[in-house]
Amino acid sequence: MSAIDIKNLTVKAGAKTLINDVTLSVEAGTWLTIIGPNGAGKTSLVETVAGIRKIDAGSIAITGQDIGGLSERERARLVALVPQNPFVPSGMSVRDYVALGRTAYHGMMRAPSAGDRAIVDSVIERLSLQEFAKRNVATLSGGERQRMVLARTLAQSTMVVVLDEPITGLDLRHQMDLLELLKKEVADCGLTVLATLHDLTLAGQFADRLVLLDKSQVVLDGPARDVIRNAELASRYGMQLRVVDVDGADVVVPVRS
Amino acid sequence: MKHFPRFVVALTLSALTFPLASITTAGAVTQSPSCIVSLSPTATATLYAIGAGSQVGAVDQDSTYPAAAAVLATKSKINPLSPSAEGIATICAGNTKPSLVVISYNANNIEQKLTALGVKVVTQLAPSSLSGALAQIKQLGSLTGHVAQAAKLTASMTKAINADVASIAKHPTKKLTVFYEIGTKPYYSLTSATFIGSILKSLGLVNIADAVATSADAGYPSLTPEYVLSSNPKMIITADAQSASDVSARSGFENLSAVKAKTIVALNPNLASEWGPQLPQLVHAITTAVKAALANNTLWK
Amino acid sequence: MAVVSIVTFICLLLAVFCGLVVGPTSIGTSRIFGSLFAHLGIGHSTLDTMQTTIVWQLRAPRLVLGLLAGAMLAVAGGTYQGVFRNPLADPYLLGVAAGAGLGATFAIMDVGHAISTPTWTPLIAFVGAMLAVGCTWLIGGRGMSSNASTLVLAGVAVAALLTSAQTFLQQQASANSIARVYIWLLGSLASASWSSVNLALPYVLVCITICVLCGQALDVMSVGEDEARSLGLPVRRVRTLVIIASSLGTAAIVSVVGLIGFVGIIVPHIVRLVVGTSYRRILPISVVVGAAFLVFADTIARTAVSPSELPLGVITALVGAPVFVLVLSLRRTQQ
Repeated sequence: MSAIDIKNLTVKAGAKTLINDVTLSVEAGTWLTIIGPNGAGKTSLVETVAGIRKIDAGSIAITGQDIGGLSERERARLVALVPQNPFVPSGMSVRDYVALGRTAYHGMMRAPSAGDRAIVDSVIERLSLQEFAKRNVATLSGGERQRMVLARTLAQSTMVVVLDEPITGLDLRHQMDLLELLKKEVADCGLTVLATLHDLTLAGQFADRLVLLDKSQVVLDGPARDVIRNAELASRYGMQLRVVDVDGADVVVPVRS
Repeated sequence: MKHFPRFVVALTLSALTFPLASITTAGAVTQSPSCIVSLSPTATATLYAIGAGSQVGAVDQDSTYPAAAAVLATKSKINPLSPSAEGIATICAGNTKPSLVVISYNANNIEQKLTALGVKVVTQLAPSSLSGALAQIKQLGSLTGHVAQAAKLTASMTKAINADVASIAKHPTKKLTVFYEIGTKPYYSLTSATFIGSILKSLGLVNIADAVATSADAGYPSLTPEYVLSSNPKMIITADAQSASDVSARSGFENLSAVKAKTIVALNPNLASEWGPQLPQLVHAITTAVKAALANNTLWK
Repeated sequence: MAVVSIVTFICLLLAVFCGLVVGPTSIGTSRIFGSLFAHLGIGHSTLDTMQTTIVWQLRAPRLVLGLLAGAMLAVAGGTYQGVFRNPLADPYLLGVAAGAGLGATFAIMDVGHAISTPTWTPLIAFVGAMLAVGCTWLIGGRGMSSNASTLVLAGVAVAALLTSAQTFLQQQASANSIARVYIWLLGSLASASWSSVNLALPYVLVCITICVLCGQALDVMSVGEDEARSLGLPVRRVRTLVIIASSLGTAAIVSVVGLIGFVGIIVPHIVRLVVGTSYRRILPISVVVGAAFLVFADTIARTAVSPSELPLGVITALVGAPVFVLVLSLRRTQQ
């Protein structure tokens, strides 16, 4: 049983088809990154897995449970989302923001329990956010903010985390920090990660498997090493790509013609 | 228009309470009460006219007739549309209760509140006929111990009004149409079913508002400018402080018979909104205007 | 936060004090409290009949109604601001005011059918208000659209339609009732009695409770409906619950006191400036501040120009606006 099982998924928005008959699965404790040109349907796919978009056909199962029939609360205990442009509610403290991750665990009208608070504190510590805990979220820098969003997501205590372009707008240092943090969670806690990324090199370096999505359909699906070397990748991006080995790591380089 | 809301509210509430009598039943008072509060300009004028002026303790801000009342009006400053029950109940000297409160409009549930405070409240709504108006005067007479003066007043009023009505020669060949204006934008008028309308009718006037009124209007319909112009009334009476020159200046009105013949009468708005001791003056003003219109040859070519 | 709670509680006590003790007639404070204790079974009252009536039939129901109205309007405004994430939201947003106004106009104008008595007008106004919200709900997609702005737009449309219907009715029928409708629209606690208190009390208490309990859910909604949904919040259910509770309570209040403006939009903002952006704190504090504020305003309205009364809506704005500006500028200098 995979952690994420997507079968023949079709998602539409009005007349437009965003995801067309997509089937893919992610094994528990692994990292799958979705790559592809703009407009391929990557964001729509992760939004559907996170329950924000409606499924028009097909099914999505998280740890064996079909999320189509679940309530928001039940689904939120299975999968958590780091959105591409998280809304930053000015005036909220970092701790309160991270505590939002526990929404699915306490009643709508009940306060967070002591257990919830303990989890929030431990996540804040794990992600080195203690010094920011009381600060207004609007005062954080880009990198700190993204770490905070990840903290909220981890506080949701799900087996599966989906991330939509998590390193957008971050400098190189913070990009690497965030991805390393995520990799550590996968390694230490057996987290399952489904992410979308633009950067092919980072996609290849951090993911176990890659899926190339183009025009709402799955084009390639396989181990990261193989997918980045596949000629189809270059053709879909409409450019020449070369994979260079640098100290054992794969680097994808676009070549000017 | 300062007088309009008060006038309209006071004068037309009789329609709203159509099934009810216009006077609440109230027994006679054996001794003459002191510190009467009047929230009705008509009742105020009546109280002074029947000799009970010295018993009046406070009046509403619109009770400006006679002069003695006007002094009280500026002193106490009671807004009859927004009165304070507590304030009125303790308005008399030494924070005592008024012995009687007369109202013509139950604002803010003041009647129930004052009654709960043990104050005697008498409601005198705008009447629908002359007899109703006279009955209110008689009621105030018996409430204040001035029965004889009240009777004398009503007798003289009746005599004067009848004389005026009789003094108009019948004019079967002359259809004297009238537009009685109580408001502008839109034009509000009154029908013969109302008190003043009945007076107009008894003077032989043909009220243009009668033809278009519906039951929903309750006697006070609004008229479109087109209707007023097409009816071409031979006489225009304004009760809303619009002067004859104001009316003549309105676009389209220059062609009206009444404007050309100058048979426009601007009544004193205070006079036109009360149904008390000054009624004979009101009737007389209208009668004079009617006679002038009947004698005006330009209207009857 | 503890300081804020204590201060607001003291304000509430002061407001209750003003509501009972301050008035055009001066009745001794100790004697009023003596009468209060007498009601509770301790000791005797030294007030005469008239004073007892003034305090317990005039001032007391007005005080209670003022507390209920201020509390409900403030918390409704706050919850609307939270659920629509719009600082300009007020309790009349979804057509409650227009519906109640139309109902009241209809009731007041129903000539000769004796519907315009004090008993019927509130009921018909209430029905009007709830029908208006129902229309907004249906037109706005029954809350099923992915975001709440559809509801807001539907509310604007419904309000415009109903307000024009009301104007049409007034124009069309007669000049009689214009003054009565106008005064009703201005909003006033002057007609308050124990029966009008009883009419509104159950709805208002329940609705205030529900709204306050939804504070936490509104905090989650502050990150936007999509993210809130991904966090596990049943967004549609929260929206529905909040809107029903706020609208029902507001409709109950509007039907007995008319349209009192300003409280619903400004009190939550003043509270927000002091306690921060968490609705878990804003809502309960707004309940108390709104209640106290309206009672203070009403005390001025019924005492300042006795033996007349000032329109309450005028006082709430005259008093509230400077307070808001003051708190705003204090906050700015702090930052």
